[in-house]
Amino acid sequence: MKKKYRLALADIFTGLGLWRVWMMLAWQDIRIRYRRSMLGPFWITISMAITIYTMGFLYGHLFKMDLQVYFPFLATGLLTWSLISLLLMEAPSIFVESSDFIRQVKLPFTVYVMRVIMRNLIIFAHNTLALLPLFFFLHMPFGWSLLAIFLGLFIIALTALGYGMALGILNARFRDFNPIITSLVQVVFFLSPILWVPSSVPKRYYFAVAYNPFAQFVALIRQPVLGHFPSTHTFVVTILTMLIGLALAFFLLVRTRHRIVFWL
Amino acid sequence: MAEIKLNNVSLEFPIYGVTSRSFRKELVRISTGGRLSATDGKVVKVSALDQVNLTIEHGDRVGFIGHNGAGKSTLLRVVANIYEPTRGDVKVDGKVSALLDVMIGMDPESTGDEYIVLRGIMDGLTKTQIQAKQEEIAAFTELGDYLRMPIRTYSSGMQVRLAFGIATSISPEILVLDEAIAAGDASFMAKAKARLAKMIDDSEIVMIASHDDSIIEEICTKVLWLDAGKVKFFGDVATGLARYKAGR
Repeated sequence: MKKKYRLALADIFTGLGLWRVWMMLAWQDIRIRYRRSMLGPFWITISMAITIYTMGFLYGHLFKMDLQVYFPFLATGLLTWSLISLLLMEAPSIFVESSDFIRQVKLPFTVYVMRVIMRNLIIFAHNTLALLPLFFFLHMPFGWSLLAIFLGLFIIALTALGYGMALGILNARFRDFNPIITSLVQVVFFLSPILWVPSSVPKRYYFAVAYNPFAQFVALIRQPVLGHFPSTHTFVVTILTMLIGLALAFFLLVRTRHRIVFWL
Repeated sequence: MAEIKLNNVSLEFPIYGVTSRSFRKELVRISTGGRLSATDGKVVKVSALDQVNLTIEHGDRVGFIGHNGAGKSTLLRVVANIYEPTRGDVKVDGKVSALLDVMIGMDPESTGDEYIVLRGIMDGLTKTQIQAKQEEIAAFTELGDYLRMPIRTYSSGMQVRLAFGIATSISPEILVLDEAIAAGDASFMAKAKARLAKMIDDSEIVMIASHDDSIIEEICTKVLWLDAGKVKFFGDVATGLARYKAGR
């Protein structure tokens, strides 16, 4: 195998193996962000709860839906969307934000991507607490399907590794990706079934949900919490998206790994 | 046995931002075809190292001399594997520790103790190793209870003490130093010098870039004179410094 390919693979696997480094960097990010606040990271939970419960009332009435059904639907949607959108919005600055480290110490680039993924998974874990009242008051089922969340998170993390690496590299070279992603995220939020239910879409436009990867990623977490196992279709779309991302990341890493440091 | 071999190493830096690194330009370049790009699509390149051949052996203490921008820091970063050369091969036997910027990753909101842990984990140390280090660094820096305070409350002298204490608490096989690290009050300077000297003694190979001849004369067994990315002289300290001063 050519040296370039071997070095790119080594970057990914040694990087993943250095979990103590990225775990620590991720926790440090969270700790420092909330150091001098009394509630600390639980502000994440509170702000998520406020969003869910106010928007639930508002849109539940606007859409004239049964709140028993709409609350869990919206809550799971917002929860997953906050993870996906944060991962996506932070992806372009991954290497730019860690440039001090990259210029001074030799560590695999994968470490910095994992730092951002881990940081957002920690935030996600805090956000899930905001859903507990729903389980309690609306008697949502605590079933085996909940375990599928971990499978979903695993797919999301690997997808984020691919696109995070790719966007991190691209944005190190061309600093245009921050605004591109920010506007994309805003549009996608309304185009995906987060506030509105997929069944409200006319049948002939349903493909816009079925082939919208974001909708399927949301379903990956939403379905298990609502008590169903995600559909095969959801798995096919999300895993395909993931594989494309990983391939893109690998391609870019092979070609540019030795150049990234000069772009920062 | 530590050893460093550089074979025909050249390194070119692309400099972006001079011509703007925007995606739009790249799109324009693609859509206008290759021909136009030759005039305005070229990236400014700086040749930082030019065909460097070098063998540094076990026990060598090499001082890098040369004007600002001669390529000293670049060569140090090549040895530390932070930069990969555009052409040529680099072979490094031994674990390299580079003290290029001692303050790396220092966040004003984290405490001194947390910073020690961060640097320890980045160096791949275990929990017990880090704990031992914390005590040793606390003793050396004389920071005491300040280690439990956020770094933003430190004076600049205290910050340097902490950074220096951590950076010099390692025992590398190959030690790479950029410029002499100096700061702190007089009594600390003496302590810092002794500690640095011990670390240099313990290392198998030392490379130090400095503008201070007295440091080079004191520490080094060889000098490497770089000029515009080329090796002008490599060998004996006295001869090298004399030729560098004479400018040829």
